[in-house]
Amino acid sequence: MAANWSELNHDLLVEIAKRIKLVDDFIAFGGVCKSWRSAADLKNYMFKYNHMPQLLLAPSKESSCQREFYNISKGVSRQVCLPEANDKKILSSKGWLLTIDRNWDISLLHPYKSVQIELPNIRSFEDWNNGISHNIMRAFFIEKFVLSTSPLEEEDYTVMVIYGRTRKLAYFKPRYKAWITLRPTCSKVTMFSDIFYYNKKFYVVDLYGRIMVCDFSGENRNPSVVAEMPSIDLYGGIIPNELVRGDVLEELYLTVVSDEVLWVISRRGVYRRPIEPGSDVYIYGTYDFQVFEVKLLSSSSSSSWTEIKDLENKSIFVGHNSTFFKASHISGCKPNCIYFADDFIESYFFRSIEGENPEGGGRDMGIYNIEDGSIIPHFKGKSVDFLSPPMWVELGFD
Amino acid sequence: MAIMYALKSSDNEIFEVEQKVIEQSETIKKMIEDGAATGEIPLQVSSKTLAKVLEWCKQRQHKTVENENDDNKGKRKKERDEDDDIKEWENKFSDELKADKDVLFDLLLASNYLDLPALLSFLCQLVADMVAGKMPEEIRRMFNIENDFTPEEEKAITAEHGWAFQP
Repeated sequence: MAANWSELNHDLLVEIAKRIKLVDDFIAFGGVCKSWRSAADLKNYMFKYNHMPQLLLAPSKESSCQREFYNISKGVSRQVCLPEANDKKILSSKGWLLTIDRNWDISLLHPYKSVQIELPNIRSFEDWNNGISHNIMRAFFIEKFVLSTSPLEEEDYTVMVIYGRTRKLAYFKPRYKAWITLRPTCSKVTMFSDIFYYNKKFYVVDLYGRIMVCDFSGENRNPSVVAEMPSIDLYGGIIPNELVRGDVLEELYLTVVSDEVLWVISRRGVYRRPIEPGSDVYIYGTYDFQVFEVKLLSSSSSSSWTEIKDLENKSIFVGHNSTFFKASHISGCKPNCIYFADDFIESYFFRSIEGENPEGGGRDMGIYNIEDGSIIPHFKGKSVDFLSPPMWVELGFD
Repeated sequence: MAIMYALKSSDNEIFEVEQKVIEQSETIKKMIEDGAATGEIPLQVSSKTLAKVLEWCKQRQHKTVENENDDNKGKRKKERDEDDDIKEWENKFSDELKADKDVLFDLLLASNYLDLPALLSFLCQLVADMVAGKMPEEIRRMFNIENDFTPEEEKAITAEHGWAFQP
């Protein structure tokens, strides 16, 4: 008697489904017949965050509610009807979008499920400044947005942001009526640059190269310093030598690899600079990255910093998204590369390109190969906007 | 002298097998321990499928024995060669199953019934790899599965995940 594969028992179908790596294949598996569909429940999808992220393109001029997700490995884009994102400042994290509208209302938006969650208005930030309430300033107020976990997966999620002119840190948890500002336990001046959530902790890096941890498992959530980038005098060799504002670095990103190992990524070229010395025509554009591996030495509360040229076959994605990395063999991205999108608002907001008025962010994008320092483009079309330039979206499929 | 057991397939064929080989099956091991296995052990598995199960078990047993006999000297190279051999054997095993999906199906059920976790895992991975890169319609054709969705369901599925089926 011929085998009837639609009658294979449920547990075995689940075991098969759990071994499917790519989400496209997982979804196709669920499209075969009723019994296979019951096994292809997304809770059985084990490789959720491992596939290739998509580039959410800037809104097109013609259509206000259609948005395009561009798959850079397939070179195709997909239209999604997303009126909820229309005319809003957008940031992304873990497959969700943070949106800010003209009334300064903030929401979380899941682009495929059209699920929307209201968060407290910007006016609830502690030092909200009415002086910057001009509509277009929405582009600046929140610079980074990081979700601990998807709100559909975990009820008690946390949203962390970097906000305001002095780049402070604030968070929100469900049922809070306002955003709560966190203050570093050290008294030094900080300007935060990036946040990474790992193992119930938010790791943050500031523009002075200090790494701090906000421990959300306990009562005191304020950031305390766990590592500092060695000073230029002592370690001239490893520090980017073109420091821009005094001792502040241009732009830093952070990823946490394990409890002891972190990567700090320094991006250079995002500041506007004269096209040639003395010129009043300015340009900007990334020309280099450096990645430092930071080992936290718990015994002595010190750290070691080493520049690395190998990302263990992972690739890092940076831009107006929460920074993340992918194992290249599963996701299909190029190993040891940094996929970057345009996120330096101060540069793309003001006149930057010769002879042109600013059109918004979206020009400074590419794939940086850390082994040979080369940069190649990933999206070849034109996609620019002030409030929502192209950014990476991790498809969570929750 | 190795202890031998006689396994009887559902179509009454007898397989003489070493205890060590067949004890990989938690189900049979338990039968032996419980003393239920005097004389022939009757199994709800066809002779064709049982032959395949034993082929797998013998290969695994072979590998374990060799490892036990190794000393450290030259072990790394030997392990590498062995890994290549095992890969080659597994590829051949997979190819046969891909060609005869009825056997693959029965083997899946048998590995579950006999409680052979390594074989079960291997087969599930094989099926997962077989469906990779294929559209639902291709998968149905491959496994001879009938599309039992109503047109409405089908429409809903396509709408929900429409992008996934893009070329």
